Amino acid sequence: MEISIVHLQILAAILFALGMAAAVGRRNIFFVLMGVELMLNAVNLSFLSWSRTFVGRGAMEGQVAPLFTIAIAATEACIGLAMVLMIFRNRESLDSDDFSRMKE
Amino acid sequence: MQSSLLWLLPVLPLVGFLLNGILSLAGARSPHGPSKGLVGFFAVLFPAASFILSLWLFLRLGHEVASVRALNANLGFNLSEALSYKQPLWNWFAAGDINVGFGFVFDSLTGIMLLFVTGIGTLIHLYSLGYMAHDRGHARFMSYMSLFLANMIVLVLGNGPLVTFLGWEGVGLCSYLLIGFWHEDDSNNVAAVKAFMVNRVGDLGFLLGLFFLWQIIGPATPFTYEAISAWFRDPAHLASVGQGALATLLTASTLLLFLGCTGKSAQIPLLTWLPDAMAGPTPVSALIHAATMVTSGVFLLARMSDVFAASPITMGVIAFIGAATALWAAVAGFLQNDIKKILAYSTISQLGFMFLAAGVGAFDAGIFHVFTHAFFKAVLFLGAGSVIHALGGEQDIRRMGGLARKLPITFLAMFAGWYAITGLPGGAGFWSKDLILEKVWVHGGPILYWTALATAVITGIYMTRLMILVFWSPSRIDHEVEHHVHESPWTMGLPLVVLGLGSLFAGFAWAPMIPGLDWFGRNLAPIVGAAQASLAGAEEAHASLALLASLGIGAALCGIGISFALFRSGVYKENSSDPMSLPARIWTFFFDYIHAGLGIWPVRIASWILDKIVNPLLLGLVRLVAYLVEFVGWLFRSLQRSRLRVNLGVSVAGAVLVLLYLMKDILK
Repeated sequence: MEISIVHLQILAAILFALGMAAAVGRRNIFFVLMGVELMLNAVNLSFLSWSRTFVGRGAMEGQVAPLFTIAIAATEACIGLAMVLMIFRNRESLDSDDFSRMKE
Repeated sequence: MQSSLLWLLPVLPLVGFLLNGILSLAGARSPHGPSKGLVGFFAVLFPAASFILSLWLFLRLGHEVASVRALNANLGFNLSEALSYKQPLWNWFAAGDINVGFGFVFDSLTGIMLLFVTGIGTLIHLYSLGYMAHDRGHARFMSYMSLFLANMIVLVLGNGPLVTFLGWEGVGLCSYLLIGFWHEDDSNNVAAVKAFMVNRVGDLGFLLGLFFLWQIIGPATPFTYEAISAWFRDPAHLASVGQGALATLLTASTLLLFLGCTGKSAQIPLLTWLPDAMAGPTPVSALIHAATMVTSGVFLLARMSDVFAASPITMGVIAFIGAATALWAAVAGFLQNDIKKILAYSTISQLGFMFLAAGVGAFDAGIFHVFTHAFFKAVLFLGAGSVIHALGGEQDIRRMGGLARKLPITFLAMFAGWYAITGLPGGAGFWSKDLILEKVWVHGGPILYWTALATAVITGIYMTRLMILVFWSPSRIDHEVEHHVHESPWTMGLPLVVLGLGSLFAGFAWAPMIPGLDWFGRNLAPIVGAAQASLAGAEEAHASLALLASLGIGAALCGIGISFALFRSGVYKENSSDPMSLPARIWTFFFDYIHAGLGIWPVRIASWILDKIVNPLLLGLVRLVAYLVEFVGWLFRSLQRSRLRVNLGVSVAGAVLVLLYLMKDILK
């Protein structure tokens, strides 16, 4: 069976759903961050498959947008991990529900 | 005529008030209080300056009146306009059509009032130096007294009813402050609050009366005494208020104004506060609650005589109330054992005489009685104060006696006051009371006349009872107290002597039986003459002056004789210390009971209903709203949790919803 564009889109949707499930469902802050990464990359995959769909003008944009997304995901991961480290030092905990009051 | 000096009259005592007030505050921390000499100097200097200024103005005004009269007589005019000094100061307030100016006017009525207000005021300030010398708060006392004097001068000097109202409220405030001067004793505070509250009722009447009056004369007329009098002297206006809706309005207005007068001057029905006001120091009783403030009701009647004269119903009510108050208070005075209470009821009774005179249309006689009464009642109160001072605070006349020898100056002064108030020939009260009796006989009819005459007899009885029990009967003073009895210092003696002489001779200012001695009436004629002429009517009953005068003297002698007879027969029970008997209590506190039944209890019941029934209902409504808001808040609060995952989930769900909304066309 040939892998069609529809299959790629379905895969992206499944990955996005998994990422969201991790981000919303898990209490461990690392899994939340990983879920966010997963969702970002699912969107990247979706972009790429769209670039295959639209031949011509749309093809280029579908290729470029993931590059920006990857750059932003890198900075997000950087800042996110730094924050998690700082919070962990203060709280001795990785449970996101413990971080409900940020000013404490 | 303009005069630029009038503002000084009230400002001088006001400066005294400020200086002594500052001294009082500055000396509050020191153990002995501020320097007595300095306080006394300020306390006497400024009222005295005010007195000298008003005397000078009065003499100058009389001089100018005489010269203008002479000029007019030469030119063949008949001068009927009142001459006065005026000083409009500033626009007080303007609201809509109302435009009220603040200013002073000094005419002969004002002048006469000011002369005895500042003159007797100065003497009583001097007296207070001695009386209050041992009191820690003497600077505070003096400052209140000066403030009172300033307000009284504003009351008398105001060029319109609203300026008078300002002073009217001011003297009420000072009265309150001074009744409650010894505030460590709570009963004094109760008396002060009572005086204040009862006066509030009257003042409300005064204010409402002014509103109605303003309705009658309309916005085109300036709200000054001069303009109001001129309005009511215009025959066209008089005809318009003679019937219809305006007549009703005028009756309501004058009755309400009179209610204000009954509050300030302690007449039926608002008289219960004055006997209680005796809780204040005795100089206060003499100055405020006998000589000056309580007579401001009579002053207002005379000042607005043209208005009152236009309403015959009100005049009838005033005469009736005056006579009833005079009789009731005289009997109540006879039932008292407290020397100051006797004098308080006596004051109410004499005020009743003044209102009776005004009610039958003899405003000048009323003011004349105000004038003479100021002397003899002030001396009686100051004498009583001197007796109380000598006995170390004793006020019950059953525990006095035989003081004529021990306190000769006080005795002679009080004797002069007694001579005047009973109406023995030649004393101040004789001339004024006889004048009132004569006018009542001519204009008021026999019922009012015989009531007044009976009151004169009872006056003789209770005043003689007081003199007998205090001065003439054998001493019943405790031996320890008797040992310390001493005549008062000169600061108290001098006012007693001056006022005693005044109560013997002040009546000669208007002695109708002696030709040429009508100075007082002549001076008041331009102000109240028009109103009196309009009331006098065409057929004036004529009476023999000599007969009426001998009836008056007879009444006085009769009262004195009865009093001595009662003393001989042992009715006075001077050795007992019984409380008042039940009938005496009912008579004395009759109007207190009426107030309680018609005023205080209904208000209490209404306020209980409001407090216990209406208030919870309203509070329930308010709480209902609060609970509703709280419930809605509780519903939404669960969404506002700061949980990372929940927030994320909700925002994703929101995003999905937005997306679905955007895709709704595609999905179809």
